[in-house]
Amino acid sequence: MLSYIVRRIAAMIPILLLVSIVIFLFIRILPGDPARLVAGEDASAETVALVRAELGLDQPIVRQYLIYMGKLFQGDFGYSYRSHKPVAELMANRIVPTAQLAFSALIWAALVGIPLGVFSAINRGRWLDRSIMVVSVSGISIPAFWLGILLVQFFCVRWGLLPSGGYGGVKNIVLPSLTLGAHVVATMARFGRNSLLETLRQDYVRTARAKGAREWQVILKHALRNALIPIVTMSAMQLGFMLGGSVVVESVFAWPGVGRLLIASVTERDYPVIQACMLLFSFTFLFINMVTDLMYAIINPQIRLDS
Amino acid sequence: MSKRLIEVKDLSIQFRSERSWVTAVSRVSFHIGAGETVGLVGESGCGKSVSSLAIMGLLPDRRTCRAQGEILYEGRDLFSCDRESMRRIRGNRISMIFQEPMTCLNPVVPVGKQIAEAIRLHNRPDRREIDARVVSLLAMVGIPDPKGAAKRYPFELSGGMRQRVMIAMVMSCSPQLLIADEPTTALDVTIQAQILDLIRGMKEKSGAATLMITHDLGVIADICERVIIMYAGQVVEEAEKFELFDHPAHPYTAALLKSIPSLSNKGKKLYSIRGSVPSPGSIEKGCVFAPRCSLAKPRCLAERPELRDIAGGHLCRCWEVD
Amino acid sequence: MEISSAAKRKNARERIDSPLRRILRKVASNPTGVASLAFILFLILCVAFPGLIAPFDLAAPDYDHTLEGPGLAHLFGTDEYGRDIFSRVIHGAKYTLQIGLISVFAGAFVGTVLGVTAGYYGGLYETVVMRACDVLLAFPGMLLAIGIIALIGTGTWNVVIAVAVYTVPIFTRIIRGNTIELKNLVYVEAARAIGLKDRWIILRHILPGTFSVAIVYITMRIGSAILTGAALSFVGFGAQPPTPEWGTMLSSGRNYVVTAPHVALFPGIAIFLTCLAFNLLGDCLRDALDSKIAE
Repeated sequence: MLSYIVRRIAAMIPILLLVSIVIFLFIRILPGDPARLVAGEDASAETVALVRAELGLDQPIVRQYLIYMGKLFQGDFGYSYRSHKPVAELMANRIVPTAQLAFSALIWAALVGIPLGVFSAINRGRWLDRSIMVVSVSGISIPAFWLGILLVQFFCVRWGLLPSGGYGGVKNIVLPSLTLGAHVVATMARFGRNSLLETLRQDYVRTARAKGAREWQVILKHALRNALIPIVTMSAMQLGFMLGGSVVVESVFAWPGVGRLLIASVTERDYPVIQACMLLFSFTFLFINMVTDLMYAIINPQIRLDS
Repeated sequence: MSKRLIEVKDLSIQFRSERSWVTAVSRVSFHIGAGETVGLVGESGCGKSVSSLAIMGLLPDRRTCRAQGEILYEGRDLFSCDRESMRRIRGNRISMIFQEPMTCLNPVVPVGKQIAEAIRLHNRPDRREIDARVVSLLAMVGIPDPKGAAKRYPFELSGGMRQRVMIAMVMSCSPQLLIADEPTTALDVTIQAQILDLIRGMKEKSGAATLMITHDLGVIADICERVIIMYAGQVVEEAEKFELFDHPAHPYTAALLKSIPSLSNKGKKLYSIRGSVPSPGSIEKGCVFAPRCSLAKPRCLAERPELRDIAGGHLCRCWEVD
Repeated sequence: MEISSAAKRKNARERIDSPLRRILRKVASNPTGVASLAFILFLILCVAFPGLIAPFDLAAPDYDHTLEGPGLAHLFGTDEYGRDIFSRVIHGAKYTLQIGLISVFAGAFVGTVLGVTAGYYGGLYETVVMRACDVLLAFPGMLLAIGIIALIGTGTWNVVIAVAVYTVPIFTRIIRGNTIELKNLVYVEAARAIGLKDRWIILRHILPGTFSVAIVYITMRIGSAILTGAALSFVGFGAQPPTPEWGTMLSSGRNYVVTAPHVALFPGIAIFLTCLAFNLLGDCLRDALDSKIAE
């Protein structure tokens, strides 16, 4: 088991390196001269040359990469083209809001979505199943940003119950979390239903019934126990995808997270910030995927014991 | 006449297929006496497994599967039993083991716990008693190191071992009837013999009746006392084992026996029955076997023959036999 | 021998039916499938003949009637310039279908080619392709799309490219796995044994086998492509105003949530219904394919 963990972590390292290389090359692929971008449109040739030397852009590319990686490890993500502030500082207090948003959405989506999927599967073909599935397919078809606007319209404009944006208290996180989680609830309900239906088809469920187990025991102790394995790992993966979705939701609700920073920096062509955000997101995503794999290995005895 | 444990009367089962209902079993009747070992023989799709699921009350729900007739267990019709009564009989008085030992056990629960569950569903002994009983059951079915084996997960055991665990589980409540649906088909030949010996030993020790479902006549010859032959959802012949092998009456049975390759037929072409098994519901009139039968006459294609007693308990469904 | 007449008819029908016909029939028998298909056909009409369906010109402002709610004259109301929202929504269908269909089909095509060749030929080529996919898949789809937009700029076609690019590795992985399975099947071994050329084997044996998997994934991705595309437009990376792309319309409509909520409502409904139609159709197709496999 320990060897599996080590191997899995080791497998992630080459990808991390590749991703860092790709992101590093990002600026270099762009048309135009990065040094000029920093120096400004009307800077003189000498200023641009000075800036270039300062940024280390006159060095061979491999050396540049190594310097870049070295700085990363020290927490130096470069300086924003716009504000000339250290990127790390810009990102620092935005990580927590994004994390809060993503986690809260995941929790409520899992708590609601998985039971919905289970009830759907148990009542297969009947009214409850059909209605849950209708709601689910709508949930995955609805654009998150539109849902956010609708929610704002009802809960803020009409009923005045919740704030339309901003960050601060529990009231602020309700609507963004609902919006971000909507798609995930629907996905989990569908997936949970399929997973459980698949499990109920298995031979060992028939064995449980043949033993004389009560139906609720068959579903809980035999079917669900197995169906939950892929469901739990799938939920962890959803967390990763919500990182992407959070970008849009943060826009709708003026939520001060990393996503909003990314969008602003793309609009302003603030490349160091874009690079740092992409790096952060991808590393987080890869990390979540790795944790998901490890979790799966722990829950599934076949992998846990079979080293 | 010994007490009849199970009496199946005019059992018919239909399955839903797209727009219509397809008949899988058509007016099947047979009985199993207490302590008797009966073999149910037929090719895949002849309805033998489905009939046994009906006895266990494990047919799919009414939307996809309909059943008519009676299944009397000690005089009570199982079809009219409520769910809780049926549940108390299942696994307790009537037990069943299935064909695929590789997938029949819950992969995330240790095997000892699964056997313990079988015991706990129908009894209320305390924890230590159950544990002891599990270990003794595992030992009884010939699993080495039963204490250690109880903690193992199914994937850590071979196919033969898993089938032994299934047998242990099934015998844990000392059932009166054991239904074995092709228990050895998925196993290696050498293991097959071991498992059959095990089943024979178990049934002799416990005095349970056994319904052995198989397509392998060798297994029948080995273990059974009476044999029922099914074809395309109907019983076509029923007889005591030796009577059947010595004097097969129905053309299908005769053909089956002829198909068994034998070492003494060296150099001769292997015999096979021409044609193929009809799809369910495709033959509406006449004898189901007629299209493939070498003795078929016009009457056979027009009227379905009845199951008749041709010689002291030897039943046959054929116009050409008397 | 008396085979029932019903069975005879069934046999005859099976001979005439191609698998495609059977699938189409299954979809046709499902009311949600038919409704979705009808809606999608209507959208295609909107793309082909927007002028016929839209009552007003999409760009003509009418400053006397700005921000009017839905009514008889303007079905969906008017926006801040007095333009008819219904007409703009009809014209906007083009961009949504562009993003949804072109990007996914392009991504699926490239992904399938890469996947089949990587799975079949293996070796260094496969390793390189799979590592590249790993890198691309290290980003959640939306973020990869944003990164690409940062690289190539904004605009509808750039959104199409961005969505297509993040679709490619998804298909490459799936199809490669499928190809490896198929490659090991006995009939492929047999084909190689009798000396068939690789290209022939791929085209005639492997590609058709990946077809059903590809179709399933395509149906699953169209909906999410539409949503991602609309989201990118919403944050300003797609079509710019005054282009009547639905996401862009929602973005400008957002400013009027309090005073004129209808401006943001209808483009949103359009995106929702389009996505719903494709998802339902996809579900329907998948059920039809599944039961064909189950048969």
